[in-house]
Amino acid sequence: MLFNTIDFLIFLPIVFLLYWFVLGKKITYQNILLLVASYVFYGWWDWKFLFLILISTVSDYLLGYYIQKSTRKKALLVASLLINLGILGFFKYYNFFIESFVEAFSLFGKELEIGLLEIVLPVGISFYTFQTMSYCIDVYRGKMKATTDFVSFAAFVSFFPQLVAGPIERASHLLPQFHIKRKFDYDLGADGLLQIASGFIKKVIIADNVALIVNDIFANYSELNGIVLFLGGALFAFQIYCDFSGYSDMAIGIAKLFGFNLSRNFNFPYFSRDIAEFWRRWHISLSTWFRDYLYIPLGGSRGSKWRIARNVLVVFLVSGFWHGANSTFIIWGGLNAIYFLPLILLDKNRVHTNLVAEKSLFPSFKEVLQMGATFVLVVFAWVVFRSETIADTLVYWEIMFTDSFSWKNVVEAHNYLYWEEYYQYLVYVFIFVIFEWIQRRKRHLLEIRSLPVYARWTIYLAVVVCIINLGQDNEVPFIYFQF
Amino acid sequence: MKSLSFISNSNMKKLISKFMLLVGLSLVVNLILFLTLEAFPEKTKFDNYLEMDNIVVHFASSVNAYTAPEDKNKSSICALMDSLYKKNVQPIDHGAYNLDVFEAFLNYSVKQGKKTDLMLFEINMGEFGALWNRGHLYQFEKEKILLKNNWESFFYRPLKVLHWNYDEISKEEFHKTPIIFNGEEMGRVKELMELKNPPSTRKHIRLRIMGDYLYTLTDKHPKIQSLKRMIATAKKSGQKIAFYFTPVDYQCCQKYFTENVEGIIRGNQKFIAKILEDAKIMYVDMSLDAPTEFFSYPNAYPNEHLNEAGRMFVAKQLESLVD
Repeated sequence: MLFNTIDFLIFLPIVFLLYWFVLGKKITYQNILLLVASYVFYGWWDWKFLFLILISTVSDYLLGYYIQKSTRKKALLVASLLINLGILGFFKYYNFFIESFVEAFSLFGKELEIGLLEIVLPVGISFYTFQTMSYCIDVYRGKMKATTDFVSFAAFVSFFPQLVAGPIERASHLLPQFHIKRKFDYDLGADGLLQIASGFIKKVIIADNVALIVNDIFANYSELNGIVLFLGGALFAFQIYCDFSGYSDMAIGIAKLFGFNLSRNFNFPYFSRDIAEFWRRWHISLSTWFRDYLYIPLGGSRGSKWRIARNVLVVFLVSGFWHGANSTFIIWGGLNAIYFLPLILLDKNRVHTNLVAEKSLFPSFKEVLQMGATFVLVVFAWVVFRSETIADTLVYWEIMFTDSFSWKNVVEAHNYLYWEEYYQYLVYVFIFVIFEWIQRRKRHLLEIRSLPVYARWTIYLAVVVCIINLGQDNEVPFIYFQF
Repeated sequence: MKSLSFISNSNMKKLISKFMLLVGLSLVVNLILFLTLEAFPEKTKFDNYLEMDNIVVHFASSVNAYTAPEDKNKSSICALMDSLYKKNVQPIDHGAYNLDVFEAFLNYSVKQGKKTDLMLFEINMGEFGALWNRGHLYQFEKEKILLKNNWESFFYRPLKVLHWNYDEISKEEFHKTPIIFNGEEMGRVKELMELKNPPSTRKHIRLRIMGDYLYTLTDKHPKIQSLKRMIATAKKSGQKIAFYFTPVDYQCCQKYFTENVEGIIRGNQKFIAKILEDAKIMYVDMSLDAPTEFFSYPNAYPNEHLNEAGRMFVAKQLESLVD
């Protein structure tokens, strides 16, 4: 079930009303409802996928319990990792590994015949397996106590607002919220609704519209010129940001309606002044997951420069691979590592920890240049992410930098791009960037409750009307669902 | 607030009341927009035509306005008719428009209680084939719903944001559509849609032609059903209608087949013509009348797009219907 569907529009109020009015008196009943609702939500795609969640839930619940009690903690932790990574590996990477294996052997003249399997990737598998793994690791490290409340644990693993595309929650942050009595809070609920609307703006008005231009540019890239291809990369940057952070906003907003606080996943990443800042602002729940469970165990920023470089490279490559079984994602991770390495090796990765133009409305010239340069680097990397193959990426990059950059080329691209329709989407992006800039100190686009009531209601009304009228007729799937 | 009396929490009541107020206000604003803004350009054009006297409205697909790169005169078929004949002939055309959408336009005018001198509809032999009939982008659900001009039309956008499915054909369903020839499945649409460029190999061009023209029509075909309903509506309302079969480049198609392509197309054309004849509806058949020289599809598979000579040929053949 998707958030932006009629099914969910019916599902959400039913669960909401049952949660607060029928079962609101007892926390256990509320948790049971959330668990059942989450399973219905997930089973809506394919009920067979529920078995995977159940395996992950039951095994990590038991393993977490025994990790705390047993003396063979390490073996139990390894078992948890093997189960979770095994499920993830089989469903997400089996065919990739087989293909790579066969390809590698063919280089040595050996033709292997290993059949590929028709595997359907269960939605959200990369997200909830990471969530359950973090639980066992935290129990193993003694950072939290294993829970004995199975219902709460199962509800934590499958909590429907963030089940399929995050934010990836730590057990230490989300699980305790299932143990305390939730009281309906007006401010939290109202903010939740506004954050859901904020997500809809990003997804429906920006991501889905921009996707049309991006799809056309990437489908015809070999016929287009440098400036158009750069525009394609830049627009993809906005598409993926608005698509993914839009989903996160909806997830966080929906959780607020039930009295839960989820982690922030994006913090206006395109206003970053260097790549290190970008990675502190982009997909924060995944970046911090890798920091805490991979980078630091590898040694983090301690040790020789070579060791630090290795750790950074490993984290970015694994992060790229997490996105999907395609060499483009690995190269994307590697490219980001290359961007990041000079900063960390020169100890300049925490230069920009404050907000850009913190005390002024406009950024300084230097900040504009820094943000511009960071954005160009990010766009350059997004091209690999969006391309189907490395060969496509190389040609795309080549045209981007070798073909002419004149305005005439944009006009010539008319054969492939419908500018009469597309120009309005560029205007939407422009307006969106302005709003993002104005709101960069806030947690989401519609955190405007300090404005006078007439201004707020005018904005609310305008937002709803725009969401209804400015989107695409055809469904554009969420990009991160494929991961 | 009374209706929310079951909610004991005053904060919750406040939030839900405000939310409902916002939804109500949004619907009012949307209603104003719905009544004042253009639904889609072709509907606006049609509204204007319905206000004119002595007008022939020509409904067509991209064949009407397509021009070949080498054409000196870039006039559409409709514009040529307008200049050739005394009648004011105006187009409602759009790439891939078909009988399904034409039916929605006809119903719209009947519902408005308005008539034109003649409504002339193109029948494109390609529109019955798997690739057009099942094309997920060629269903024109939006147009069909907005032309109903009722509450369903008003709720089209709000429901569309929530991915309400108007029995649309999805891309996946379209791609799974089989291409049948002589009762045998020759391939799936996906095979053609996944090509980066238009079909260029013999195998793919054959499949494309099979998918476009070499089907066997029955009464159950959705476009045939549309045609029958259109005839019934026109008879009931007194709206004068006529049809024409736009040419197919059967000569070029034949190069890829040993089977009798002309015969198969003729069979299907006769099937449709019988429906028109039984209902005593005027029509002109040009489906197999144009030589290859009248067509233009640079770097593409054979299709119905005409060059200047082809468009002029069609415009002249339609004299008996228009003038």
